[in-house]
Amino acid sequence: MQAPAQFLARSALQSMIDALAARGYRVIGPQVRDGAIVYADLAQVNDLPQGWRDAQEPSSYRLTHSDNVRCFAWANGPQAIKPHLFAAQEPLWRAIQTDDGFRVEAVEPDVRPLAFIGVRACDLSALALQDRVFLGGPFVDPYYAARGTEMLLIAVHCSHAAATCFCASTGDGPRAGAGFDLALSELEEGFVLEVGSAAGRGIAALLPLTVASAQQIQAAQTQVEAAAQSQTRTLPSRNLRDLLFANLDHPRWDDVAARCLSCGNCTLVCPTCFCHAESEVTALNGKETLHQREWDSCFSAGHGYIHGFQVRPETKHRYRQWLTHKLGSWHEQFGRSGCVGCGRCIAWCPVGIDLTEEAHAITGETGHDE
Amino acid sequence: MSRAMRELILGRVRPGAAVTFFCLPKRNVTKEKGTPFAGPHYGGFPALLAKPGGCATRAIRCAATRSDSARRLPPARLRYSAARRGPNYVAVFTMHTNPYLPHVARIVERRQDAPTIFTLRLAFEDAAMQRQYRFQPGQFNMLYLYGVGEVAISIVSDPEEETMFDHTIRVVGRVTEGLAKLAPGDRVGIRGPYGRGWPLAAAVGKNVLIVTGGLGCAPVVSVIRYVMRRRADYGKLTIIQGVKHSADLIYRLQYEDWARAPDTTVLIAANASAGPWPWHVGPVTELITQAHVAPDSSVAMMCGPEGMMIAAAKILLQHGLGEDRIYFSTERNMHCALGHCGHCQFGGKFVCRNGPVFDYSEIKELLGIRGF
Amino acid sequence: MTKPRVAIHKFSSCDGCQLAFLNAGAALLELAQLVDLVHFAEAGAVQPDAAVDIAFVEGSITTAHEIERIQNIRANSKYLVTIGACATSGGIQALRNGKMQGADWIASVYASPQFISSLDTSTAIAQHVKVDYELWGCPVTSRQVLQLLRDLLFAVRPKVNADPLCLDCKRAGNVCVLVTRGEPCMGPVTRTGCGALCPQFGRACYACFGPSELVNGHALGQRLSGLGLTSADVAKRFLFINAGAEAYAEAAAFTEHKHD
Repeated sequence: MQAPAQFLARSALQSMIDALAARGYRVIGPQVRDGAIVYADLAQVNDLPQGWRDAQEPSSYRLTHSDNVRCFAWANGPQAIKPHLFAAQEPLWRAIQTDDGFRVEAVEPDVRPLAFIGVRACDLSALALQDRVFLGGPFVDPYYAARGTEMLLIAVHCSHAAATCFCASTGDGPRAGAGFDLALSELEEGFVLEVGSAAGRGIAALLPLTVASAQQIQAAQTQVEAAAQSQTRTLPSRNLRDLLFANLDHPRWDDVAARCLSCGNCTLVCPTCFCHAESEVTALNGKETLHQREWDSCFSAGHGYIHGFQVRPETKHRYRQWLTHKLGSWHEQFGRSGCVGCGRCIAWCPVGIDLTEEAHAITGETGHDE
Repeated sequence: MSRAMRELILGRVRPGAAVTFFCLPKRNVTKEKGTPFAGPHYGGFPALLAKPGGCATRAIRCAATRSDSARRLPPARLRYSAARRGPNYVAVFTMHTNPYLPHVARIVERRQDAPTIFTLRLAFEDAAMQRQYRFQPGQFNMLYLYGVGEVAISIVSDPEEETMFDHTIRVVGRVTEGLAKLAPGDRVGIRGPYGRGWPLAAAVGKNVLIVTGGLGCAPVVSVIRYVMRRRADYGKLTIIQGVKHSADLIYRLQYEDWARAPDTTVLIAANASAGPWPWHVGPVTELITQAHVAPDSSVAMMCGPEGMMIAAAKILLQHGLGEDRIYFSTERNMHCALGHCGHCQFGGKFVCRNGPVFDYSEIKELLGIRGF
Repeated sequence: MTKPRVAIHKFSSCDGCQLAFLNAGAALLELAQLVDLVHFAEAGAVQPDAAVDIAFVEGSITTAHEIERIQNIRANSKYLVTIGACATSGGIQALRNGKMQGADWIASVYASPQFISSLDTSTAIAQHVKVDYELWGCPVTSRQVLQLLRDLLFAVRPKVNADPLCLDCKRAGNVCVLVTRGEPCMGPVTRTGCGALCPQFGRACYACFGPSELVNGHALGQRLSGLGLTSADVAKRFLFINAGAEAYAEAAAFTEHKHD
């Protein structure tokens, strides 16, 4: 699908949103809300986070504004694609009382086509992993699958990494490698555009594009390389499974448990975490009941509970489950690590526990460049 | 996929079914048979599945679901979707009903086995579904209690029985205590069967050793009955049961009955006893030596507290039984039973999908480690 | 079929938790059809000594008379369910426990302390009688009480959810006020149930639903100190609505001890 790179002038960016809307897509893009970059319905270019930068550190996320014309000069926010496909809370089916028992009806999810603008490389990797979880096994998850219908993804290669980013070391970014329909590199004057699929080509055909100059292509390349170079955190990209499981008694688990709140924030901001719990919400009169699911976490009490017995009673067990799964048993289950280097679990941890630091300490693998 | 195949699949989707269509690269598509155990979710139909990982790339996927009726998706739309992706793509169907939906079943009979243990005999309301329903001993269903929730319970009846299936249930939580109050004629929801059952086909011609502890372990009862009904297919059957106290032994008559069967030995141990107790007093593991396990021609199947199973496995290993001949029935928290919800993970294994029956070599790394 | 008999009792409290029933709207009418509300003074029915299937108890124990009353209620009820922070942990009034002598407290508040007759402490119902189920919150929500009633009507034990508030907050799509603004949010140590009401409006959680399952008060206390709170400020974050909850009392004691 490689074609000569094209160029979309900044002044013509609205035409992309309009083209997607005209094709019937619900357009979702980054915006500033409550002090963070969030992905929400996008109608106007003016709603993009122009001039905003993010400064992320363990347990800290701050946005600052300047006169910079760029709209994508930030790394990421607390969520991206995940909540739009794997809903945080959704009804699965309802059961309705009948004279002799009950009947069951599926609750259908909203299947409006989605178009995402400004998706990051790490989020594309995470999406591919969630696809493996919900679509790749013997059972297809119809709720997740339905929301992905006709989804269009417009990536923006990262020109800026946050201090919490480490996608370069996991191999997931900062350049979006695959899985996009269109990819943009943002320059001051506009966007270098690459086509990644036939659907993307269809949208590109509707835009006022010119051929990108060699300098523009070079500048785009340089800034994404700089974003990679600027990353200081690392995670060994090799399979850590055996190392982690060989260190289940490492004193570091106690150390991290003393700091960990067991609050589950890391798991709910993680774009690959897939655990969810099912529960029942019943009308008071008992005539109808809704069976729903919601995001769960390996840090919750319900996660490891079996009739009167708690598999993971202590925070130490729960943190160990999270890390050995994310970086270890994911390999067995889905063929790669469950970490895409987005750094969200570091920034959004209320007490600033750094997954990369814990992984280095426990595996003894060096490479953390302080 | 041939046109005939597509017609076949679409034509037999029943109401309530969801059909998912994918556009995948040709290289990722393989033709496979459906699951070996034809449950209601596959309805026994062959399905075209993507190769593992084949769904990984979002840009090539195009899915549509229908769950209200068996309406057909216009073939033109499918071909269009595939064509839009380029010449190397093909439209693929996976046929399945919505795997999250329970199917209504009626309680035909209820039997109280012990103060906290009872058996429900169930039949699907949909007679066709009941006829089609197949499972293997050791597999489980999700039982749904109206308004309360679901719980994973293993199936204990004989797989050849076509008119109904049985669940033996111990009252341990809010769902099971509610299920215990149901009576014949009441309805429950059923999804399943799920998981990998006991290796009964592989054990044909071999001696079968059953080791179980605690308050009557339903998963191995299904194996014992299975072997009893096909006695000629198997060698010596040895049943070892351990209880904490002699008063805890349930199914006492059942054990005595089994002990009289040909070529069958029943060994029972209680850590402590009171009253007349013809069996062993001491840990159940002491009985394993008495069982005279022939390492080359035996298969051990175990169920019960993990500590007991681990201790028994160690002794069996000392007797020369191979790690791949020692099977455990495991238990973890279960919500979806589809490999999606993450609760039942045991290290890299999903107990719902890779288990609940594992051989020792598959899980020995994490056995007995608190937190897994 | 006879309808289950239900009583709603009030002890030392503000009456706010009873509003979970009164404000339930149409559900209240449905409830009246499903159960027999034999005692609910705020809604008119008064039979405090009637034998019931389910007794909801609001408020803490602060007088000698209340000790007698709760024992009587326990004897008359099949299930006893506490509703709200006061009944479940002693409430905001438990702040007086163990600090000053009761008499000094009373003298500092009332012009004519001789008319006041109360115990030195405000204590949870569970410190006096067996409690079957607890609903935390200040106040509890209609959803909580109705779901519990529904479960009991189905003859199953109610589901306990002691997950930290952060899980609900993230599910709701709220942006974390601690991470983006340095607000001293108690969400990580607070039980879910309110629907993440405060963070949704940009406010820090103040722990009115009581302790979550695993409270690491030390770690959160240190973090709050890092945000510029003094050790006394940190202790106050724990000792507020649920000062009598053991996990919070321990966290506050640890924080004060560490920094004093």
